[in-house]
Amino acid sequence: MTQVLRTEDLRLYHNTARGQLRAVDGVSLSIARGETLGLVGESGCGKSSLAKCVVGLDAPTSGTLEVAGVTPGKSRAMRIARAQAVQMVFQDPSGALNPRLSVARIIEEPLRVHGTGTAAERRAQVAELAQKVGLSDYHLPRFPHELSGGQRQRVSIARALALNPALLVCDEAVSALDVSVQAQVLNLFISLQKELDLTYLFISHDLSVVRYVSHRIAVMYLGRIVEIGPAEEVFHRHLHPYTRALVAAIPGDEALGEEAALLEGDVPSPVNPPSGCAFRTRCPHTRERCAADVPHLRDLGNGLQVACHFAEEFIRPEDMPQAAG
Amino acid sequence: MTTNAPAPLLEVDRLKVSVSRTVPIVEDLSFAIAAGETVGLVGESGCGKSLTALAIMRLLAGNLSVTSGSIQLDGEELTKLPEERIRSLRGDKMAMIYQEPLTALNPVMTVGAQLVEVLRTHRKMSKREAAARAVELLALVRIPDPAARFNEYPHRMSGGMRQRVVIAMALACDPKLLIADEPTTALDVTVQAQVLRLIKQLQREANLGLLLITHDLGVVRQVADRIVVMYAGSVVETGTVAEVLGSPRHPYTVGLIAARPSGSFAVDAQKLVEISGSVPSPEARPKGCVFAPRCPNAQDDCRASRPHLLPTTGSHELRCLHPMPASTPLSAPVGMPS
Repeated sequence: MTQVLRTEDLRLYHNTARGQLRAVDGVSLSIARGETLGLVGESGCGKSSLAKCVVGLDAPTSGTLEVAGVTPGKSRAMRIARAQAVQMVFQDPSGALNPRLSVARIIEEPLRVHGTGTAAERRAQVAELAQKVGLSDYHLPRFPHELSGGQRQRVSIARALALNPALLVCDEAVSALDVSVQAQVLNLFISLQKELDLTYLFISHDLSVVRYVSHRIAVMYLGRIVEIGPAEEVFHRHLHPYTRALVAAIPGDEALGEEAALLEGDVPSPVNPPSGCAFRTRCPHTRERCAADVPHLRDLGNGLQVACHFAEEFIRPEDMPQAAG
Repeated sequence: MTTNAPAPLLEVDRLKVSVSRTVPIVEDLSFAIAAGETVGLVGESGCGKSLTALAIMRLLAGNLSVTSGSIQLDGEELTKLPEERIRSLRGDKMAMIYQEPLTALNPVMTVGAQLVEVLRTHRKMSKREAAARAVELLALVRIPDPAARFNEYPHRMSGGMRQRVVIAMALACDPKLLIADEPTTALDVTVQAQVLRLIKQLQREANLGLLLITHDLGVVRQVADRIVVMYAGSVVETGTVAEVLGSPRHPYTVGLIAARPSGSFAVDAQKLVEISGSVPSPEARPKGCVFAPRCPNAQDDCRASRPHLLPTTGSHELRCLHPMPASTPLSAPVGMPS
């Protein structure tokens, strides 16, 4: 399987007045062609920082990053190559679209920037892209403010697909949409993936959405991946106490029980993270070793990797590794 | 409702809110909240949820007004009260929690000073009494080290802490009615769970009537006793949480539930059920049932005239001529194009 994205010990540090902020702190992951990797975590956990490194809006401090087999660099040719390999869909479609440009012009923009084809060829390509994302000729001369939120997000997706990228980074791409429209856009992402063999890095704070679209899920906490594996393994076995807390916090079928273990407090500052396991300050199972040693990702069967010293203790008998179904 | 039942705390009756007094945005909206009860008001953006809250608080923007219907709080007709009386009720007998705590708080005042302001306005307390009470309130909403936090500015606090401060302000004068407009939407899930639990506990302790406005059916299921589902300005379905979410009848409610991802596409290859199209703008609402253009069950009679909200079984009420059968299973896609 070809890896469309590969990172090795990727780090992104920012120097702030209060010290060094470790936004991404040693992330190693890969995504195969046609696969969706869902990335979840609370705000401030480094999801968006990782996305920015991948699309090139931020340069990593250290570590390796490979997009579609090439290591992006600073030269013009390399920047062009990266833009053609990876594109991004943002959370707020109104903020991501130029209000003074028509839909057709917005979708055409990347093609113009990259000098693709003649005007007539580009026009035909724009019409084709619009159709792919479920927009009609009627929408092409319109301006963003004349469209609904869902339609605007379709325009963002069409624009992202214009250069035929291998990888699409979707940063909270459906979070601003109403449930009924969210379903339309999620279905669109899935059918486009099949049609175009697209690879997604799908970032969301909403675990139900991530579980639905992803083949694999990575859970991030304070710049590090604490659990990663096949979507259903992560969702059901959730051997890291943080993942378990995220799953428990999904508003769902159970009436809000007093007994459900909820996390206390907030994510600590990434400028001054706790020693050892970064989650230990909020973890109900924290022990001495957690403050001393940094836990690393360990294999726990069925492709699930967990960064917790005591992950084995959380294996429930009914969840013992079995053939993936 | 039987005649000897106690009068509800809040009673909204056939409320109509219009723009420029001509275009109705909220139409024929009726619901009631008893003391100690939580009513969840759900619907997508633009359905009129927040306007309803603002109409109750009498905080509608200048071009919006209540054009008919009534809102009664504890027997007092809010729509006709003089401005002065409303001002004294707001923050006192009825209070509101907003979605975005950062904009609800004054950035140049410490959180303590903001709490003191509420208490001094409504309770005529001395500065010292008010400050002591403010620290108590911060402790009530489980803010660690409340005495130190009293002197903190909002930007120095996390989102969850700020929302706790907003809750403390809302509860400062022991209101009878609390309106929470998307109180946890801007928060992370783990913090959302904490704040929901806190609101629920405080409500129980003080026997508050709570109107919880949200787009998230999961939140309603967890917190509310009764649910009011709104679509394009009117109530389409209402009843207890068990009635409406356990056996939804209106195609819109059914669609809302089914549109929410609940499994994994990679595993069961099940597409999400879409509700095609989008919510019509208030000027473009159809003559008949407002949901008809998006409804899989729509027939000619739906497009002819607006259906009425009618009782079905128990307290379950429905505004639909061709509802889903009563036994509609929740998980299966229900006759919608996918």
